[in-house]
Amino acid sequence: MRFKAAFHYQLKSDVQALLWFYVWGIAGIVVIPLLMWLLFDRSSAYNLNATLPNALTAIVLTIFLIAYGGNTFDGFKVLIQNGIGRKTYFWSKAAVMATIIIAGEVVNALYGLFYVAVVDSRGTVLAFQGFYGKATASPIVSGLITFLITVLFMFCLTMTAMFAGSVLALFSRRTQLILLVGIPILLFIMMFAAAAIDLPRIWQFTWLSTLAEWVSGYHPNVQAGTFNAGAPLISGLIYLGVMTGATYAVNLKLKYPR
Amino acid sequence: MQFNFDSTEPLYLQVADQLEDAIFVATFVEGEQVPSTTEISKQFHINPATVLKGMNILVENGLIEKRRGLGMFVTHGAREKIQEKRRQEFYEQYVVNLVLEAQKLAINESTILEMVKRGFKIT
Amino acid sequence: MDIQVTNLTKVFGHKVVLKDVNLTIQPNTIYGLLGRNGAGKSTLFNLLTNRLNPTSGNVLVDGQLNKNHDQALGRMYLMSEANLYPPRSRVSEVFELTETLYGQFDQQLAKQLCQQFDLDPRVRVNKLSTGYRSIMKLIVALAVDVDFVFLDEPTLGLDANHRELFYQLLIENYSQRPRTFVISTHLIEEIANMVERVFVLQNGQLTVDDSTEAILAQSYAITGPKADVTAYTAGTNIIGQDQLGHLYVDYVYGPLIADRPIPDTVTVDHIDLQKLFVTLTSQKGGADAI
Repeated sequence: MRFKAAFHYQLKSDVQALLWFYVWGIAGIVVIPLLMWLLFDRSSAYNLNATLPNALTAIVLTIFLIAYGGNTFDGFKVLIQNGIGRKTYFWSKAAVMATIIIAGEVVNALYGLFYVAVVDSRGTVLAFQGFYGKATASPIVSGLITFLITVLFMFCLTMTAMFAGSVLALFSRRTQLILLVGIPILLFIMMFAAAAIDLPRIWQFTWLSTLAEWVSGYHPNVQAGTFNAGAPLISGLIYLGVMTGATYAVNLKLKYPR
Repeated sequence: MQFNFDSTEPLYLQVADQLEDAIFVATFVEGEQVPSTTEISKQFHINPATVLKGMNILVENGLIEKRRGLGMFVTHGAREKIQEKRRQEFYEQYVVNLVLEAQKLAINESTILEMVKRGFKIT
Repeated sequence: MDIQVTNLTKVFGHKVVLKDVNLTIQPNTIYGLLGRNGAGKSTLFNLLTNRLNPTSGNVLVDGQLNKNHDQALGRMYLMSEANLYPPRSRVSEVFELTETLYGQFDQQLAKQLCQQFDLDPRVRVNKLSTGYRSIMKLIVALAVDVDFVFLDEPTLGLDANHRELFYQLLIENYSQRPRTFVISTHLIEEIANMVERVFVLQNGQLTVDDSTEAILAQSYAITGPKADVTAYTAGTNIIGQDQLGHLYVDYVYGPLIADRPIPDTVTVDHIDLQKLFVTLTSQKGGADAI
């Protein structure tokens, strides 16, 4: 089946790329500080714990997912050259991303366990532990729920990147560049404008903060780790569904030459 | 073999003519294998279907025959058949026209025969 | 086992690139797709393989709409000037990904062709010259197991020796594994005897769709004094003229008037595909003349 072929090809090349990301991430975050210390700062004792971030693998994975989730056109080009249409491209890519997210989050959790055990006992194992780590009486069930929420959050994030990348893929390189440079500038200007008019007072922000509170399952007399775990699961699934539909629709419009 | 691609004759007929000529001048002798369709089309960049069409004319005329699994071979008596055919053509194309032209020029039969004899002496 | 194109139209902005094209691509046939620059050849190829979606009209592969249809698309391969492969991958990796994605690829043949063309499979795609990039894609086109191979300017950047080798390999490949090739090229003379059927595109419209033999059989050059030639060709489809001193030539595509006697001063000759194409497509508004 062509889906399987498309999935295998993309999984192989993406996993290879992810491994390079890990290598570069570790080099950037661990090896370079070590070298700096060796070269310039022998006076103080070297402390791995001080330079090793709790979120090392999570940072690398997130950057990878945004970069490779967003890069739509290159994947489309290869597949259409090889007689695989847009539908299979979209679903196989989504499946590859999902596989990488699940595997990557397992790696993150294992790294979290290692970090807490070896580097710093005050660290966290899972990203949203501080919100949902004590959602139920059982620490194992709570852990699983937190893991699920983390995975779902990464699904949403990656699908958003895929959506943005697919929209960009419809335009020529020149238009892409204008959008990529223009939108951040526009946001920056808007931020300044918003700061000038005392943002917290305006209705929109209140509305946004209410939404954020509802999505995260925050409630006024909440304690750390006991946010409502049902809220992010439901809102995440809804968001993922809408975003998947929109990205799929945009993917059907892909063409070469654009 | 050589093809004159500028010729206005259809290509498959050229293929047939060239093969026939090659058999007549004994480039391919009787009982010998002639090059395959693919070999000919590869060498001269001619569509295999065109080559096949040309070869089939020779098959129809009994000049080559297919031996299953082996290829095409020059039949026995092929050269004689070609000679016979060309003699017939010689009569139609040269002799008939010769006589027609001679009549226009008021040359009679004995004079033509005289001329032909003279022609044979030169060569 | 054929491809049916019905009422295919493609509009880019305000420009009509293909206009109501209808044609059938039959199995196991070598086609020539001829057209001047901008006539719509590449767009037609891109629509056949669904790299682009048509503005209107359909492409049916064995009765199946090609749009995002993997089974239909998987039976075609388009070799074009554009490079759609990952630029940093090696030639051998391109072969591997083709095998993975198409499911069928003759690695043995690819290896052998690399040797014949002197292409090192370890080189990265973005390090290849234009000629060798063409060669790499030609090797893929010959080694991948599909029923329809579309070659858009296959000999771009190839020297005379490599073109010669390519034509030989193409015919060998076609004989061993019969399938359809549609070749678009400006070097018409080099493929004229290989193509069984010809499509001519003029300003986005299909103006010729016939067997090479039939096309050549009804392409004439009528040469002689102007008065005699024009009297003889009156009422036929004259596609061009030439004048050489007192000698006048009318080029005719289509039947001559059979019961009209040929004047002694006039000669009737056939013309070759290249001459026919150049004459056909050099006239203004050529599409309407046929």
